[in-house]
Amino acid sequence: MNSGSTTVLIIDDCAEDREMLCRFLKQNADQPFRIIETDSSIEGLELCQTEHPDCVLLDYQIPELDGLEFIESLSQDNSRRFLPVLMLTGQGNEDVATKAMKNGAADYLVKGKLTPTGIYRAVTKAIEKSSLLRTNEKQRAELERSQKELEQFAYTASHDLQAPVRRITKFLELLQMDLNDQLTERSRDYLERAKKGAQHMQRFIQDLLDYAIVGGGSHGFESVELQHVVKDIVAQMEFPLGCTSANISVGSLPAISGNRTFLNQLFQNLLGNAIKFRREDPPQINVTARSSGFTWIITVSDNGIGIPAESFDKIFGVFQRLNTGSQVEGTGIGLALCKKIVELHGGRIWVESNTQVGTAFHFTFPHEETEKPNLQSQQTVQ
Amino acid sequence: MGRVPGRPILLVENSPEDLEITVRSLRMAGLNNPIVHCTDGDDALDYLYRRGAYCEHDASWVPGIIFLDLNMPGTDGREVLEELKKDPDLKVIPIVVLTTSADERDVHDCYARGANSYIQKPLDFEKFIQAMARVRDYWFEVVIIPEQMERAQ
Repeated sequence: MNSGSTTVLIIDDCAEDREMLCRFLKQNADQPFRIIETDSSIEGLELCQTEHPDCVLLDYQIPELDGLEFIESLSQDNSRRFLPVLMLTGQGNEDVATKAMKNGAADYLVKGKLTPTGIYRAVTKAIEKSSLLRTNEKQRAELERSQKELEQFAYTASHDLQAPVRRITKFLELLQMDLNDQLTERSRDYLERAKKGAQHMQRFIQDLLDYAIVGGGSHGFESVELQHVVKDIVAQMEFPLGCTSANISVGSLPAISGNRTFLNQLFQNLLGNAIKFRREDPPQINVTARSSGFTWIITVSDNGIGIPAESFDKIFGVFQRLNTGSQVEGTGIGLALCKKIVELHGGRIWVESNTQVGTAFHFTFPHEETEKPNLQSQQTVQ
Repeated sequence: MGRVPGRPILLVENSPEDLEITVRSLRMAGLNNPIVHCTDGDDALDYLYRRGAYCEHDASWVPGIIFLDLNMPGTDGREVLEELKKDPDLKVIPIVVLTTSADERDVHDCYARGANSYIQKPLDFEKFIQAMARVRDYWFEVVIIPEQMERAQ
């Protein structure tokens, strides 16, 4: 509720009714209401503009604009969108009242049954509710704006950062090519290190860019066969040094409604991690899906080094790296990106891990909306 | 020298390091055609329509093939592509898009506008050079490019 006095606008063409409403309102207020009255709904609309009431009591059967039309006009005015209107109906007119509520009335009061307490409660409740709605809406808009701004910033920054880094890398390579025969072992090492640093930075920027792009603006969703996505990734997998083979078993996976590029990034990251954080033995990776209610649960599990339980919360944050040593390359954005992608598709992701056994990432996707009779998603796939 | 006579190659490239690598790669792959460089889309259109700084040029300057970068300030590669492929005379010149972008929309849009090839510049230096060697083999040894037309006007 506003600080200062609360303004209530009464719109009713019947003078006795107005008088009664005034009396009731005055009886009960801990802090007195400021009351404005009119017998015309047209004038009522104007008063909404000029007097900024906190609540309107509106007789449903008023001539000129009737109750529904009044609400309709009010809803078109953005600044008055949250102004609560309490509809006053005659006895036995509950149908009308329901209709009014559907169209945006905050509540309705039956004229014959009014009591001072009842009306006071209805007014204060309606005002509190609309004030909450307004705050909520404001915060939501604010959040959305700052989110957009941040994404735009990250996108621009990454784009503009990429060009100079690429330039450094490439001219270093050209230099290396030109000087090839004349380089000492030491200067070759320096050049290599400079190149590695620039390449790492380039990867870092690219990852940041990927992260910023997911969730920025609208993304086209289509039906995506996860089976194909994963098979393609496995077929094109490049194995890092010291890891010549991996056993990747892919179960039957569903089609979901999603963004192909992002889903590709999701599986690429998870499969890439499973290989990156392997033990000495060849990696064994399983990708499976099962249906639970209206949800798919997909699992990517490995027999790698595992994640200690105390780090479970950390791993999905941006820039979180558990292995700070130089043994594993990475930028610390991969899992944060995975989380963002899963959430963009209306799912959630969590981890189960044991440093003795390995890691399993589970994530969910809603079933595709248009289910066809013999679609895979109707049976439970193991 | 294969099927393309010594027509100039037009490189529309905004990035100095990519220009350097592309030129060197083509030269290393044994290509001796004159290489003309335009730094952006507007420069390229001036060159192709022989206006501005290029108004003295005659038909011998019409390129046999165009390598086109997409992301450039001002008129970008997409617009250059669109304009050239709408031109009844210039549309016969093969255009090879050479870009860092692997965005599906870019690939799709470029072919939709009539690009003859779309190549993502390999990030790796060695691979870039290899790719350009293949480009040379393909465009200058394997395919047949139309005999250069005299422009209508």
